[in-house]
Amino acid sequence: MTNEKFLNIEGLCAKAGGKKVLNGVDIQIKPSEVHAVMGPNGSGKSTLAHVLMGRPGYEVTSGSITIDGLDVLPLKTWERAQAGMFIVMQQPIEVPGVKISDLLTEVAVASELDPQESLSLLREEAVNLGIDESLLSRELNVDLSGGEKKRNEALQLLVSEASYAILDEIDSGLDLDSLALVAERINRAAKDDQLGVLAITHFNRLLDILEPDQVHVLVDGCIVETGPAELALQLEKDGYQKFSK
Amino acid sequence: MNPFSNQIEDIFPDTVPLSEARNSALEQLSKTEFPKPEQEVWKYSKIFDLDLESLTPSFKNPADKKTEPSFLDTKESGLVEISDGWLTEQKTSTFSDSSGVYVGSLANMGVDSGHIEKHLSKPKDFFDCLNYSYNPETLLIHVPDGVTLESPIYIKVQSVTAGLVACPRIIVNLGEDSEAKIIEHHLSSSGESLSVPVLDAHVGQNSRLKHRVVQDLGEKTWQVSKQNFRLEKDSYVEIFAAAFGGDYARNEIRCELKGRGSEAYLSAAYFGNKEQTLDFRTFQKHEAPNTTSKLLFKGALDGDSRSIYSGLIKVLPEAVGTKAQQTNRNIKLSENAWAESVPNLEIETNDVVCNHASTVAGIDEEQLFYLESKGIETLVAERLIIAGFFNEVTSKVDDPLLVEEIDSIMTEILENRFKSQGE
Repeated sequence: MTNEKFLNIEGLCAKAGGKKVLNGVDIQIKPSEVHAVMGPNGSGKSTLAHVLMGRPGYEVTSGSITIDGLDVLPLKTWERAQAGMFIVMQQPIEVPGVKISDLLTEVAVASELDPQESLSLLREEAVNLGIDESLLSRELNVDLSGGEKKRNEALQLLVSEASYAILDEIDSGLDLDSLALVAERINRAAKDDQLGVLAITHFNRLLDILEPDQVHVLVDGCIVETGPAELALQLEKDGYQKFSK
Repeated sequence: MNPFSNQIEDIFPDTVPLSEARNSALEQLSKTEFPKPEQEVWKYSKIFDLDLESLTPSFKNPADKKTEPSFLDTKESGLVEISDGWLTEQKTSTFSDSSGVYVGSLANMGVDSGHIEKHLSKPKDFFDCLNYSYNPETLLIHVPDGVTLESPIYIKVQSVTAGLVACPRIIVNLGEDSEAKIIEHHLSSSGESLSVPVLDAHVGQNSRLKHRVVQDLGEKTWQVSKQNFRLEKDSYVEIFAAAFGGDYARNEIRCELKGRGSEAYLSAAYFGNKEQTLDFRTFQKHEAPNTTSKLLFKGALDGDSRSIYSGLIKVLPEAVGTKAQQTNRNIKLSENAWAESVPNLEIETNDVVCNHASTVAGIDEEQLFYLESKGIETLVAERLIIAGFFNEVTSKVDDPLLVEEIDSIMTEILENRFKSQGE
């Protein structure tokens, strides 16, 4: 085992409800690298994100996931997060009665940080993302628009100590201006703070700003092609037809 | 049946006035049967396990007995203490000004109390009769027409002597265009005892009453509580009940919307632990046009605890334009916990908007995954979800002292849960 830092997904296969949902996924993300995963609907993109985070209901049948050499498969979801993974879900879940500040306080306590410092960091970062302070006292994702939810998630990512971000369609729900703001800020985190990014998306708008190092095409739970940023443009033009059996 | 066969004249000291009401209650008690399992109102209850014969009524003022620690103990004014059913302390001089507000023993009010008694409920069942028979002193809160109480009246209702049946009784009478807020804290010593409190509240035309009670009884205390609210035209009532303690604790809340345009808002938060049973029965009775009642009761059940929510919305033919809601939500936190939820509607007119809903479920898996994915371990995430679940009802408790008390009880329960499961 090398000591080199990266998120390593190797030969990953998984089942859900007795059905095969991932059939061999290989992706290596080094710090500061941005990887895009694209693919037709139902190809397993969100599944990949959930399996990486250890969501209940999925069973990894073979392959491995490691962070900087650490095997994450035996870890629970919260242990994976503490090990440095952060997921922005396609549809962030509503948690009635719980505020983002409650959540952040517990996260700070768990990482032995000062909750007050975390909260002031949150407020600073909110300004960068154009998030109104009032949003911080709202209940998590309750009665928020799609765009507000995604900006909230980006905010939490940016104040977290995560090393690797899994962004499941972070662009959906965001208007063009918000998208630019969020994507530019994440891009900066990749460049300045060594954040490794796995961005699942259907659109080049996001990738124009994120400037991926690699684009992976996922079809039927399998990575069928990996290429440079230009691959995304080609996919936009030609679609996924040539990959279907 | 009167489980305490002795006659009242023999045992209450001379200072306790014998009223006709008490004598007729005693007579009624001797003819009234103890609840039976086949009675719908006692369904799912464990009242039949109550060993009444091992207890005796409280015939002596326990003034010298030690008191149970309460969050109200620091209060210098606006506080009444009821111990084993007796009025043992009163710091309410702030209310006795020229406005005619009266806070004190009903017996001491004298001739003026006549017009209040006509609003009182009549004893209906065994426990009513018990209370009316063995209540030694009744607390009356009377707010005359046009008077607004600027600060709340706090009532510490405690059972301090083991082996007793305590029968506290509180009467609230709001005149027209008046306003009051009343906060009760129910607590008891660790010994076995039974508490049978009865509250009668009459809310006059265009008046507003906020009533809150937090029940944090000792582990071996049984309670059968009644709260009756009568609402006149355009009056407004907010009722909140928090229940945490007791072995078996039942609270029956009756809300009679008698006057056109009256509104009642009922909410509750309860948390069962160990072998506890928390039992709620509610009655939203719409007797007049354009009346509104909304009920939201939320509970969490852990360990081997049980809860019962059984509620009825009744709309009489003349109560056109009624709006009524009834919602009961429960979180089951352990395999053995058990929650029964029985909402009912009985509507005798067409022009109404009524709905009811009830749920019993475990902690939401998606919420749990979401919070855990932020790096929070399972039990902490559960704690956040449970606190958030209750927030919908507890956030409306607009009294800082009470909010703090509920927060601290809730935090203690959740932290104990964390400790016992983390081991």
